[in-house]
Amino acid sequence: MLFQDANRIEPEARADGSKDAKIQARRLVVRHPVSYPMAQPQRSAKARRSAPARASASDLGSAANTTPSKTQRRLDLLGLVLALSVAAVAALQPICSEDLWWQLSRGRQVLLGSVQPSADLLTLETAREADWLGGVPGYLLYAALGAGGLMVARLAIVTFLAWRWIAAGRFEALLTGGLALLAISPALSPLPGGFDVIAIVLLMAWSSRARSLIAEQRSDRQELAAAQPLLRRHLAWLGLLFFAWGNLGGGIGLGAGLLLVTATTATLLRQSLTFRFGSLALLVAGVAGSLNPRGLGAWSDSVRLLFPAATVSPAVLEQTPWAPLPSAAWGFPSLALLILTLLWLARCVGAARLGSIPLGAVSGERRTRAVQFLFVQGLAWFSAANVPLAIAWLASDLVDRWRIASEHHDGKSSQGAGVALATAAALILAMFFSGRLDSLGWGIDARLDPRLLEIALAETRPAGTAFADDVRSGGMLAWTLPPVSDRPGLRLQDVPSRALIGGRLAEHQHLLVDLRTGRQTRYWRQDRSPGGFWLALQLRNTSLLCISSDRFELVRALEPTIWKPLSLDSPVIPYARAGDAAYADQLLAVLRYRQLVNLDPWTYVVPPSSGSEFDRDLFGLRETAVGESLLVRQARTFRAMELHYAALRVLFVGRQRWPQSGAIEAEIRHCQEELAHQERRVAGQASWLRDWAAQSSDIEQLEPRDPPRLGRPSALLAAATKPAEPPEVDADEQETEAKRTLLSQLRVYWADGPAAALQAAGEQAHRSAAPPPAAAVSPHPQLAYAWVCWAIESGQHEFAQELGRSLTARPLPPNLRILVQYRMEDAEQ
Amino acid sequence: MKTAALTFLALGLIIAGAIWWSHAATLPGPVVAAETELVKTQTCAECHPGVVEDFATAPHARTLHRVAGSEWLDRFAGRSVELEGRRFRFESIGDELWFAADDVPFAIEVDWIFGSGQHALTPVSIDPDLDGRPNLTQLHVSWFRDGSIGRTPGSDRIADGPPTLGLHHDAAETERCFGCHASWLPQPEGRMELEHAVINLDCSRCHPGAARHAASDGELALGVDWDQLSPLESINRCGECHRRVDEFTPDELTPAHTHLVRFAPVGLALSPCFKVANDPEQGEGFPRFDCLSCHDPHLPTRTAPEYFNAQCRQCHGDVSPAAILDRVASDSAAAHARPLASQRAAPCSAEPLDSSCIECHMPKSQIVPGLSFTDHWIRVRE
Repeated sequence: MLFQDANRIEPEARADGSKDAKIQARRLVVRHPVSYPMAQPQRSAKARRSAPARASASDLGSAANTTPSKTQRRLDLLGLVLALSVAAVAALQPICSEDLWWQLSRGRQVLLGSVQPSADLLTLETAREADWLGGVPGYLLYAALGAGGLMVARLAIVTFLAWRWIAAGRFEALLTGGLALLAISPALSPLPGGFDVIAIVLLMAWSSRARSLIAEQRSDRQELAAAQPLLRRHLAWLGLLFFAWGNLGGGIGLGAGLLLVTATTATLLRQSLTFRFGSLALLVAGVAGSLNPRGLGAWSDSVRLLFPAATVSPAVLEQTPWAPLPSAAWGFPSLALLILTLLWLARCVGAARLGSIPLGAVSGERRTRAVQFLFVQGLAWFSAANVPLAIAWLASDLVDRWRIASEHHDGKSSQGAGVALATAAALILAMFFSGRLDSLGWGIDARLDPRLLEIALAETRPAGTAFADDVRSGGMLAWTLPPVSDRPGLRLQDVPSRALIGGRLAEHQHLLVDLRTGRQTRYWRQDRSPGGFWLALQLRNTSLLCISSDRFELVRALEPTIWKPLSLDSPVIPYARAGDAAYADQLLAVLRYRQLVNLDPWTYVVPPSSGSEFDRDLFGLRETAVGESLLVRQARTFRAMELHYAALRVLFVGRQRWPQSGAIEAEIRHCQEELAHQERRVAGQASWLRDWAAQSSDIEQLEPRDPPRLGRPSALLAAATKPAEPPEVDADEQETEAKRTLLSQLRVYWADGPAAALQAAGEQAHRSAAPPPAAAVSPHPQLAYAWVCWAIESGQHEFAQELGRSLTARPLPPNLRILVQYRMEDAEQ
Repeated sequence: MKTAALTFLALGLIIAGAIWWSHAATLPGPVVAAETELVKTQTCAECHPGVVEDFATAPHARTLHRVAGSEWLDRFAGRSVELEGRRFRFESIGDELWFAADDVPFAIEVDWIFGSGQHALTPVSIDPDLDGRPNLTQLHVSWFRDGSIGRTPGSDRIADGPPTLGLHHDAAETERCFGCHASWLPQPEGRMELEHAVINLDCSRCHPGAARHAASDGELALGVDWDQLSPLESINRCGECHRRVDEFTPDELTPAHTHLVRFAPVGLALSPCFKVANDPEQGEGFPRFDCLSCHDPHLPTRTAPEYFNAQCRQCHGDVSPAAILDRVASDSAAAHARPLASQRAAPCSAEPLDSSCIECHMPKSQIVPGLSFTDHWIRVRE
């Protein structure tokens, strides 16, 4: 066991008394962190030095004294199980990085011979980029092994981080590392974001080692001279790290910032050795980080990415990945950041229960770490995109402290059962709360499935340029299109990350706002810039828009414009201008699909699990490939496109599958609200069906009211100018009975959908063989109208027409007559 | 402990700073929605009394009206018209105006009237959508300058499909409609709030920066210097509301699309006169030609044809040497602005020089019965 290895060495070193041996011993302890089982008490170096004779007296005796107890073995096992569980849960997550396809496209372009892949892929980009190789590893893995290759890389990254964080030998480290792994799990891919995390961890390890080296040399100048080759080698490793980091990721500014903090605090504290070494390190990092096509510009690019607040206003950053944390969407990663921050602060205070020790032998170490802590906190709070990096730093720093505590404490560590159980409870809660257990799987997340986009563009002849709302849309399009070459074809305009670096993000966001708010024609903004998306898109020679289907408002805003969708169900919806010959065939096809899903006899089927790389289920064990959230997203997309019946069809199928889903129920009510609003607008008053269905799915709580009216009834308006007449008598026995009947049928509608409701209506109306249409002659008009609606919703158009004709043949309230006319138009399409 | 305390304090400052910064600014919105751009017209009158007094009589100053207590009620109340077999009527109840149709079971209240009356007055009704944003219904019947009421432009096929009272516009379109007829549209939380809107155009609508200009006693310049705009930029500024030629597809820019006559800047931009006069090479010597050549937006619209014909003759006038000398002698200031070489635009080959140019080249075109616009697409017609 590794722990015993260190113990065996120490007595030899002590016997020898030479400092070299002690250095060798300490190196072993540092390089081989104690892994589980680890609950054996560790004696401090002082204690070990003070009792060398005892240690060498009797190996048998020593061996007998170090045999772990049964409780300790159980704790060790618990720790091992927790560690493996957390690592497995963190690792077995489908690749969900939003920039996956963008990075793979860049990698593909590089392997075709490009040294400026972004400039080749984007029409608005002209500059070279530092992290030009960032997409190459991912592309090579995907090209060779598919999504499995990406997942294997992911497993390797998680294993590395687990080894660095979790295997430090303490439950506190397990908690810290486990939380961190779960929080930053989405970022742990062979992409620039993942490389940044790895680089931070490596830099922290390098710094820890450097601190040890400097501490050892501090007191003896002769030894300092002797250690120069070691220090130079150490600096060479740093150079290699920054060289790789600069070409693969965009976070080198963070690394340089941490080194700068070290050098600066050393200056202030007059630690000349640390200052000299730190300055050299900074210089090496600066040079190595500039060895890429972007050169020195790599540093300004990194600062723009890490600290966008320096160049962009918060209003521009809103709803982007770089939004300041207070205004960003909070989730488990943000919560984990807070928890780790509190842990770090508690550690800093040096609570006895956490085993605080003077940090290293270098005075001012605590201050250096404090400043570094504030530095990464500032980066995270001013840009939510830095949260994974901040978590990586916090975890590495905390684990480093736990590791040092393990080396120096003598049986005073809090490794008892209480801590172990608390850690286990916290990690289990974290696994549930983070949602990682629900998203376990293999492959690539369904939100990143480009196949439907490929199908949508297969029959088109795209040319010109394409606007994409975010990096997911843009990346998917870039991947779908053929690699850029000398042949002219459709090219992507920009992606937000390059726009941020190039100073174009404000323009991008303005255009998105104009699209979302429907501001088509030219107007002038307060800052004197021109707005209006018509001309902006025209000036860019835009022939295609790629919009994420999650952007509900944007999809809805495009509905009345000349931009028409080329797909109804792709995670990224391409839009082309109506009348554009290059997309005409697909535009016509989609028009037919709209008819099909909304009005024709069409039933939504939840896609079964097929083991493809996009449905998370490697072995096809799950029942369905699509989860509840994806189903709701599809329904929302249909609703945004004013395809309410299609949305309801999807939702009622989902309701069968997930009957307790609050999200599905809420979405059904939204559809009903909008249908009721439509009815009210066109006829002055909604029908009973829509008004009540919009109120609530709980029939018991539903108020069977007379729906509110728009404006005033014409009759009453005319009456207002004449002498007052006695009020009309409404609501008689028949109406009350009709309301009761409709309520009962509405219960079936909510539970099982329109076809079942129609069936129940038929059974209720006559327990005989008489067909339902005959019964439509006599029932209350509101009831019959509900049947018409249900017939249309379930695609039974002939039946709907029959019902409608029989309805219009009898006296109807004026608003119902208009509504029936509207529904007959739907049924006749 | 000291380090820990300072660290804690510094972290608190960072978080507070991030919270403050994240709420520090909003994306610049339309000028018409910015209260900071709003200036009281009487403030401008302190230094520009003549212009302000004139502007009060201009159509732009009376282009939107709240119905309640409006002088325009009597244009509509009690009147009815039949369009495509459907009968529509206006009824007033107190100071409210309501619109109904015989085949629609409800009547809606008229909330606003768009237009100066120079050509037409179009009533609209407002009701909120599910998000509480105002949606406008442009009613099928408008009042026209000849006193008649009739079909509102755009209300085609009234009898097709289920009966309606007007054309429905969503929130974005409603904002656009009001944006061209108001100087300030407050939009708290992104939702247009009409109750406190400053209706009609005032100085700030066309002169952004007027508020700062007034507040600085004229030291700060206006945001837009109209004199420095190119002719195309100038007509496109008017085109923000009166439409721009570059916002149409080439297929739409044909004489067959008769609705283009409503959009004067579009027609003017298509006119050979405009293109040649403002061409860097061909236009040398020609006077600047844009909307302001014939129209002063601060004044009521001129109606005398001879005034406009005289503008045409600045370029298409008599080219004999005597005529040129006479012109120079009688209008020396104009001569500086109009070199002799400018007198080379072709005179009319069909009619004498003293005939009415606009009668043939800028005729009035009827959009709907009762409503005509001058066609600004100056061209030789077949």
